[in-house]
Amino acid sequence: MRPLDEAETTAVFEKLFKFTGNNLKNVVENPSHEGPDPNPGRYCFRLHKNKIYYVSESLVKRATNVARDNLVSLGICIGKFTHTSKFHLTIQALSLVAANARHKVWLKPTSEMSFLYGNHVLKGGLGRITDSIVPGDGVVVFSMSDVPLGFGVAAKSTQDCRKLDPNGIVVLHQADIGEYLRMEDEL
Amino acid sequence: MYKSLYDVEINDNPIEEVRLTVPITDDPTLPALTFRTWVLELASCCLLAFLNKFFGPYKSALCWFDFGSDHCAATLPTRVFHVPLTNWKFSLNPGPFNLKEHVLITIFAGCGDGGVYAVHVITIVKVFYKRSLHPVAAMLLAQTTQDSVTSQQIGSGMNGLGIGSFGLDWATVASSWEVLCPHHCLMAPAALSKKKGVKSQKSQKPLPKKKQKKNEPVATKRLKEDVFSDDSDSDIAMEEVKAPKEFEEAEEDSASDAEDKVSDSGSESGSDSGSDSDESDIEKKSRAIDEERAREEEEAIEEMQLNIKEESDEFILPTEEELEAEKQQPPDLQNLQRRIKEIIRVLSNFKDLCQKGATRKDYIKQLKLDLGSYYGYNEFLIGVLVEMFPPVELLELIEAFEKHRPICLRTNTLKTRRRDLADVLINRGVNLDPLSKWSKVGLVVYDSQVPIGATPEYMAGFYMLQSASSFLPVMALAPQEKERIIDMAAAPGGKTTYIAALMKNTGLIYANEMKESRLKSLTANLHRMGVTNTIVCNYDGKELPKFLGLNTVDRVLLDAPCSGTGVISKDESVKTSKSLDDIQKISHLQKQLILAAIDMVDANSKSGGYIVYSTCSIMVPENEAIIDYALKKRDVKLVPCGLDFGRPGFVRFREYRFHPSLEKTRRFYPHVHNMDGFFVAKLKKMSNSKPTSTVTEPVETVEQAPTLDGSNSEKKTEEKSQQPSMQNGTAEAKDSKKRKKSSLTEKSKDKKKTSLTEKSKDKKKTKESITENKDVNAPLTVRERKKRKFPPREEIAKAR
Repeated sequence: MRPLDEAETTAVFEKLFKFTGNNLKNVVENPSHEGPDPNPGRYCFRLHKNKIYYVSESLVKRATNVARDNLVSLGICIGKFTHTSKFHLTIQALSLVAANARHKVWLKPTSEMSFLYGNHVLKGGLGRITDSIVPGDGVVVFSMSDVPLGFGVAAKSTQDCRKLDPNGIVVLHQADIGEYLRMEDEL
Repeated sequence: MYKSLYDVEINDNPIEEVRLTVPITDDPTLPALTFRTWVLELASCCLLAFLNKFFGPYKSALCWFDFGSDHCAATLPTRVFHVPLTNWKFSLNPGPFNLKEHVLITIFAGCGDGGVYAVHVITIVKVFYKRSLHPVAAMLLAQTTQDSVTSQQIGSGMNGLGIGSFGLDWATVASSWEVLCPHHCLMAPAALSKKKGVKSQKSQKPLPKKKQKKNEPVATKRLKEDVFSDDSDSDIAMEEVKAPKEFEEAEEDSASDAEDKVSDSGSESGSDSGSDSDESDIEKKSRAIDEERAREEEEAIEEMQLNIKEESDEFILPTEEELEAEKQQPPDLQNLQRRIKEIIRVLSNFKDLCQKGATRKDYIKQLKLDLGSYYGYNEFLIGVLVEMFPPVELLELIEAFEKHRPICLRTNTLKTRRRDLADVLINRGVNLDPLSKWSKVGLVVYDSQVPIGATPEYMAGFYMLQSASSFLPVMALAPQEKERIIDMAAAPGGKTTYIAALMKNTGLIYANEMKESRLKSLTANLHRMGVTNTIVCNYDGKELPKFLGLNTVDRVLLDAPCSGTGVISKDESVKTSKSLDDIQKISHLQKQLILAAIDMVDANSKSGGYIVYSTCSIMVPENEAIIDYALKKRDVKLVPCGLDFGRPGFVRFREYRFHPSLEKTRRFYPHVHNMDGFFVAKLKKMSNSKPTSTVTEPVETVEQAPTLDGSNSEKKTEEKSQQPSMQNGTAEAKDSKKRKKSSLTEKSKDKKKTSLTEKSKDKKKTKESITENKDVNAPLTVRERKKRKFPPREEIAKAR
């Protein structure tokens, strides 16, 4: 486990910025109540076996005496680096991302299951959508009862979505909570 | 010489009324078969037949048919109709209604009336004899016995051909005269009607007198004897309807009565006298049948008593030969079950019910064999269960193991509340209820339209599928916020996530799991449920203290690997795969794990110092024995779990004798609490020292604990208060001999301790301190605390 170096940090923050925008500072400066210390500490990012963990500092301190081979997970894992050093956000980052999301999309109940199977979001399944979405923005997908279901990348801007036919793709799927069941091994 | 009826010119009818009123010649000019005749005939015949059958039991409706005819005579038009393509013509009303027409209509209608008798046959068959009669047979019966011309032809064959019909006609003709010419006296028709009445009375007898069932067969028997019966009639009728032969013959008789007018009077009188004697015979016969019935009932009751007596006295253990024979054949499950139940019954009341010469041991041996083969247990396991439970409870337990416990889920309080979750799930079609009053987060699922492990709520981490028994160790542990907790065998993470939820994601949890394959599900569950305060590591639990440090955490949960005998309902292979060796190996492992767990807990923690040990097994060597071992080996004390339901653990069991405080542990059984078999024990660590001899348990007291060990800061102050004479070298050497498991931090603490030890040695005699050590007297300890600030263990070591 080690802190991130420059390149890795920029990669991670870029990705996060797509979803959170200016709320990124909330992510970094969030007071954390974890750890046995009475004062809330701060969160930090750590790299361990190609996975990035978003973890409170007090936890990091106490995890140092666990050997590298035996440490499996800390706090929440938000993503991983591929062989070609690209950073992908995984579904476990959902709670972090959903809390600070800038662009949101709400799905109708009928198309919830389709998204949870890994399909893209179609215009016909769209319930609500926030304004000022630019293609390529990170979008967090919610159900109508405000339960976060996953996230993806916007394919069309908000204006274009209105003109789209019902089978047009609005959000490209990146991660959804169905992966906990479908792809448990790959998480 | 011979007078034929046809060239008569004198009316010599013996009956005066008939002679006076009925002409002996026929007037051929009167239209007889007129159109209206046919119409009225058919109509009244059908109507009459219907009415009679409908109202048959109550009265004969002969009077109904003729009302229409005069009306028709008055009203029908006189127009003449020509049938096209033929020479026929007819008129609806060719003149006033004449006698001939009346006669014909009456006869025709009377045919409709006559079918009543056959219906009585059918009624009686169905009502009295309570036998079903096929409709076709009933129809045939009605047809052949009916007083109609056609049936007479069928029924009587050649014999009754002319005579039968003639006789019948007279009956109906005469009755029709009776109606039409009411002024003549009633002699002849009266005779006929009396006959009819008798007949109807006979046939109506069964219906009002339904209770006297015997009467009807008796009556009909009488009739059979009295009246000459026509064999041909009865033959054919009997072929078609077998059961009530007497009835048919009675009906035949009544039909054949009509054939022979001479015999009528004879039959009347015969039947009259027959009915009188019938009654006395009927009574006798009914009494006889009643008595017979009563006798039969008594005999049946006696026999039943006999059978019961035989059964209760005569349960015999199967002999060797029988057992051998059984082994050859495939197992007879019903026999086995019966034998199991019998043996249990005998064992529960052994004095009264045991077989002579058979000991309790024999019965139990047979019971073990039977239970093992019926339910599929191996010898070892069934032997253990038999030793633990009385026979009746044993059967309940084994039966409970055959069934599944209900599915439970636990609400994740980090993300939702139980009430909201229940609402959402009910909307999805899940049938659920709160778990019990002892849990505020549990829900039990009865059935579900959607897969309960794949709802969007599950995937969003709102709940966790977990058995009810797994709630218990975490409830016993009662983690507080901002504590440090270790879960030594965490996969798949149900208990760990519950701990995190109770702590509200504060503090720190170390979740350790030895098997790599189970790590994935552990991390996935932690992430899914939104747990952020957990470090997951992959160590062997026995070595965990090395890496995580001694005396560092507030609470430890040890849900030890076990034989799984409490969860047989989930995994049937446990029934056959466990042996004594397995149990011994596992209990050895458990002993090591519990010592490691105790060592990691800091006895001086402000809010903690607890260890919870739990297994999903009901066997004593894995549960109470381990706790007893821990009590002897470490300075710990049993405290109440906080679970007030559940049976207390064993304090003694067969050859084991445990510490009396073991009654504070809790055992849970499937047949009592409807959850998996489980064992929970909560220990409090009194001090961080490890006694090397077994007598030291009462030595360390609570008062001494805070002063003996503590944070480094405390030691420093103590040091300062004492004369700083450090003789580290010798002390260290002596200490290192004993301490093999100490980490670096521990060594540094030891240095400080040994310095204090050295000081005290200078001041006091060692033996004195040992005796004072053992003394639990409060003022002495207070004094000692002020003077000697070192663990007495050191003293003992020095003393040796």
